[in-house]
Amino acid sequence: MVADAVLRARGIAKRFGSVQALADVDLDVREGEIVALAGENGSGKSTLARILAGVISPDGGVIELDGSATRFSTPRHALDNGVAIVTQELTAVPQLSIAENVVLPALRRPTTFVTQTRFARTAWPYLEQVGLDAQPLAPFHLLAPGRRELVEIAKALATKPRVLILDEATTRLPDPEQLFVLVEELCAHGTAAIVITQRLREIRRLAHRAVVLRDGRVAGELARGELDDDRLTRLMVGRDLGGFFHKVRRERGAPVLEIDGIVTDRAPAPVSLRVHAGEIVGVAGLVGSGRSELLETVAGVRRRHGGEVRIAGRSVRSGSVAAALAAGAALVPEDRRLQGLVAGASVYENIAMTGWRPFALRHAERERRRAAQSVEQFRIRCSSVDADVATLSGGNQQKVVFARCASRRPRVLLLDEPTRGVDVGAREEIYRLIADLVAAGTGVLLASSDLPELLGLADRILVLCEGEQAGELTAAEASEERIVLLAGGGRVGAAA
Amino acid sequence: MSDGAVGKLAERHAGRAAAAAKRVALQYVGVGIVLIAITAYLSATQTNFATWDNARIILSQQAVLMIVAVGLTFVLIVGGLDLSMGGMLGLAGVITWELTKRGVPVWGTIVLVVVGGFVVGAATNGFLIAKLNLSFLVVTLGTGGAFAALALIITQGQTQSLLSSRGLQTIGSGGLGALPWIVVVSVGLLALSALVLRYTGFGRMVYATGGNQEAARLAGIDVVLVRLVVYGLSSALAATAGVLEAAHLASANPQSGQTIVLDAAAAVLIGGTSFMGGSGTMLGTFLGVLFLGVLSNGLTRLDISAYWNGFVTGAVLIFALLVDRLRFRAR
Repeated sequence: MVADAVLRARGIAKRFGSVQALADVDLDVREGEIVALAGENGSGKSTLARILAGVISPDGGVIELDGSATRFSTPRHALDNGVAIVTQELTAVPQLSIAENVVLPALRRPTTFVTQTRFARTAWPYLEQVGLDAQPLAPFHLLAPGRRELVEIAKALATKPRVLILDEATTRLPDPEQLFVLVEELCAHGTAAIVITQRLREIRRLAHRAVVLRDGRVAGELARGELDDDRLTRLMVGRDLGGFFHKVRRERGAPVLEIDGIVTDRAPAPVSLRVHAGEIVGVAGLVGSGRSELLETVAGVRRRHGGEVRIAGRSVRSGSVAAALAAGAALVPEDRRLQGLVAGASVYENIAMTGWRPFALRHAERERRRAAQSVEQFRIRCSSVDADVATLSGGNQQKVVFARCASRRPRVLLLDEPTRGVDVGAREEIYRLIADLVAAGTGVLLASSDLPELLGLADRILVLCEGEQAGELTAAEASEERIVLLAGGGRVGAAA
Repeated sequence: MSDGAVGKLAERHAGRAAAAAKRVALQYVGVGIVLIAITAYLSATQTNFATWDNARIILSQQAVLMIVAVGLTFVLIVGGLDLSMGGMLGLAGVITWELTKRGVPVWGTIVLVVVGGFVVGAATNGFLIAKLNLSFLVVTLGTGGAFAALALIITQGQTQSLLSSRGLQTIGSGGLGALPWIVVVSVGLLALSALVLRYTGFGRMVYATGGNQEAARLAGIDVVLVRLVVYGLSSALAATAGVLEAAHLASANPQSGQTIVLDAAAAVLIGGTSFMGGSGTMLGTFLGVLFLGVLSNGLTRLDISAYWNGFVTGAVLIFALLVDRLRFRAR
């Protein structure tokens, strides 16, 4: 059977800075086969997918297509060989029309004569195929967030791929089932598919075979008959899930964060919410649902349009980070490189930063000393507190951001995707840090796209859909299915 | 395709026309309002404003700027900026003089200067920005300074006469019927560029690269090559403008391009092209250039000091930006 693999990867390795993202990974896909690539956040799934599609080049290893070794140096090269990818991040050109985005990969020669009408005609069958009923010539950016993914899928289909890679393509789709049917149909006609997802249900539903990655290595492989949640989870996490999240049951105290009818930049409707001391409240929702906006509005990064925010009983002025900090709120932002850290500055400076005042002198020695304590407490692995923070691994960078927030002894900790791009070991340590802070009476508002993480940590989960409060689930009620349903605009009652 | 499918497609197209018209109307609303208002006011108050003669004068005065603005439109759509166009313009004029002096025939001179402009622009700006990913601001500031200096070195800072070349004078002062050659060439280049942007694979690659470079790369577009060629084009167009200006003035002034990039940028941005890349049209650039021309023509007619030109241009530029922001908010 192995002989007729369309695509075969051997010994793929890739390193980003100090993080070994992939080490010696093998993968085969056969004609008409649907292979699920499973693994936790940061396990290297996306890196592998991007290497297979020529988006990034590996440090080592071989990719064979129909038995002959190739090296995809560019996406063009991969596309020409019939490998198409739908990536996790949207990769459309917002200003162009929907149709033009779909046919973009077919735009091969600079001298071809093209018209928008022709684009529409070419793109139309593929848009039909993915079930997108929209003006093909409307600009892409006018499309509702939940439907943008369909354009990406149509774009991949339009290249008539032999190997179709779907990297978390379902996370933003309101109705993934439609896509599953489509993928099965394609595969019945000989297309090979590599599907990346964190949702075990989807793996069970779709995959002929699952390859599980953990910390950049193949942790194991499961045939269709062996695809049950227990086996998958064990391979993905490599340990007992219960202890992993360091979940502690705590008496909930007085409310530390009271949000009353605030309207954020993204949300058309007001959002209200209470977070009590010692409680973790999760915020779930699709990309573009306003999760980050909610946290950033509470943290004063964005102005709010109406409503009130009280932190530890004190009303906080809109749009002032300083006021939110002074009241006891600390934000661990979504993108640590863009929003969280100052690359080029040292570890201790990054930790001490929130203590700086424009007209006050700094005590560098004291800052170093305190940072050294944090480094020890949070087990941040760095050569010294003077090391450039950019040289740390993703997980340790994130712990620096945590250390800065914790140093202010916050009443409310606002966590936006706290473990994105963090390896499993560091994730567990971050969960332990969260548990310690919660045990000390901090209230946590946690926004995450990682559903197992939300389910594992949160006492309650608020689900946002297009900026509106779609529902609230207690830890007992919450399940991946229910969250996905609410986030996609469905009602819980309609689940069955 | 089945009948039903075709019907559905036709239906979509009908809706598209209306939507497209609305988008176009919105896109030019800023410069459009101001241009119409000024034109209407001048037509009503000035006896000689709304005449063919005056239109020809305005277009002739704007011809060089228009060509530079066309080049800059490409660069802005691809998400960059080319500050070296002024230096290239001056250098091209000087090289034209140098070649003419050495007896190279007119057409040979033009081809050499324009092709040379493309090669130099692609090899310097294009290579450094597209291939090595250096900052376009710094690179084009540097090369622009170097081009301008070369022009000064060659001429020792003196403006050189081109009166000896009959061919250049025909181009600079002659015309196709009532239309001066410089107007024909500048409007022709603009129209050609508009077609290239809209109807060729290359044009669409320029939009895609400027709109989202990573998306374009993932779609298999050679973004390095696209950006390289665009910087070549902007230099070639600056060189064309330089030859044309030298021919029109019958002299090569090494410092002639000093402020033109700022004016061209104003025209292009007033015309609705985004500084962020990925959107913009040649029609907008045409309106922007026309606006600057009507403005300076009008100020002269109203006996207002030409020094006010820059002030009004600046104000309108910021106004256009505000309109753009409102448009962005509205959607």
